[in-house]
Amino acid sequence: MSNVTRLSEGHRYMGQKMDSLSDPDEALIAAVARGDAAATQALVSRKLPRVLSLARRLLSDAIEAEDVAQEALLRMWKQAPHWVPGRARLDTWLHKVAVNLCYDRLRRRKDTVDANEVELVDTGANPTQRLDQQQASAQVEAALNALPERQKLAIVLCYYQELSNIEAAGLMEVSVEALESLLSRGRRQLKALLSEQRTDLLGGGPPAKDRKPELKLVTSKLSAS
Amino acid sequence: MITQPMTSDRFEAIVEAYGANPNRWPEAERDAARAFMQREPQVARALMAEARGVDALLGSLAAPEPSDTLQWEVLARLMPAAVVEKVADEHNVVPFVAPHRPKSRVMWLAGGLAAACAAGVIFGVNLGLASTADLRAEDVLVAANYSDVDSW
Repeated sequence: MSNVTRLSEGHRYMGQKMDSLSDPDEALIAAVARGDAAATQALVSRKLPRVLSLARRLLSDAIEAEDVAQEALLRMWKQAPHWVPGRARLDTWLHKVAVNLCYDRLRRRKDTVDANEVELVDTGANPTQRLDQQQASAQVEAALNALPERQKLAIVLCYYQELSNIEAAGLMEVSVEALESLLSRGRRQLKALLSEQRTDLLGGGPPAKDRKPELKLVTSKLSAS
Repeated sequence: MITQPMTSDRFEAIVEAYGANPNRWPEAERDAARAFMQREPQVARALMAEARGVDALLGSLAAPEPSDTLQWEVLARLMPAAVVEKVADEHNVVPFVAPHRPKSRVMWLAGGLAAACAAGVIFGVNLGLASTADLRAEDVLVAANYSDVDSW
């Protein structure tokens, strides 16, 4: 199990990394700080999908992800009057808050999964049936959950949240080189975990008789230590 | 300033880390990487083909969409009720204002199960008591019969 470590939410570090980037949300957060209802509504519409997506990927639980998304947006709204333009991008700050909320829940849950807990199970009950999209998603999600926490976070931030390498590295408080290393190792491990299923997931899989057992996520409850 | 053309090793490192979509590549190196693709198309194609497979796997995970209910719940927590109602009126919808919803639906499920278990235990105990009372009554009757026989 990898340690689930909170990220610093202070602006200073991110400010140093983000100086060269303009913040497209600056005017919006200023309007929210003035109590503009339309701006608040726009803020929710703009940010909720991204925060929900981030929380869903990190927690793999729809209900908990919604709770985290709500809490993160509430914190952003409370932060609006105190927001200092230029010190950090709102989006990066919001991502950091959401990641920490997710990590708090993961730590409480104590059920992070590592690669050793992904086992191969022969599900050959209906071998001629092609894996559908839902199954493919479930398998990829299981493989993502099996990655070490930092590798998973790097992939979620860069691939799903589409943060730049500089933003993601700043958020994770690592160098860009270290981020690249996390991404490469994460993608390699993901490929290895899903190698048997890859042709199926991407279509055009082998004949049913040649199918290998599929990935199954086994979540173990780890005792608090 | 003369910039060195991107090496095959660096292109490979970029593709391995960020995938095959140039939009995800580091902005500062994107042009140099594209130039490498022009210069070494076969090498680039081979390296990108492998990365495309992983990209496709990652892309098969559907993105969650926030429900209307969640949107209104968030707005209800951020804005006074009157403002939410006004906004909802403008959108011709009835807002679902529930600022403090339960922490988790699992808790409700657990509560329901606990209540069902408690009801089962009470019912079972009562049933048990009734059966025990019947047995005792039978014992008394049997004992009475024996005593009657004894009295003969």
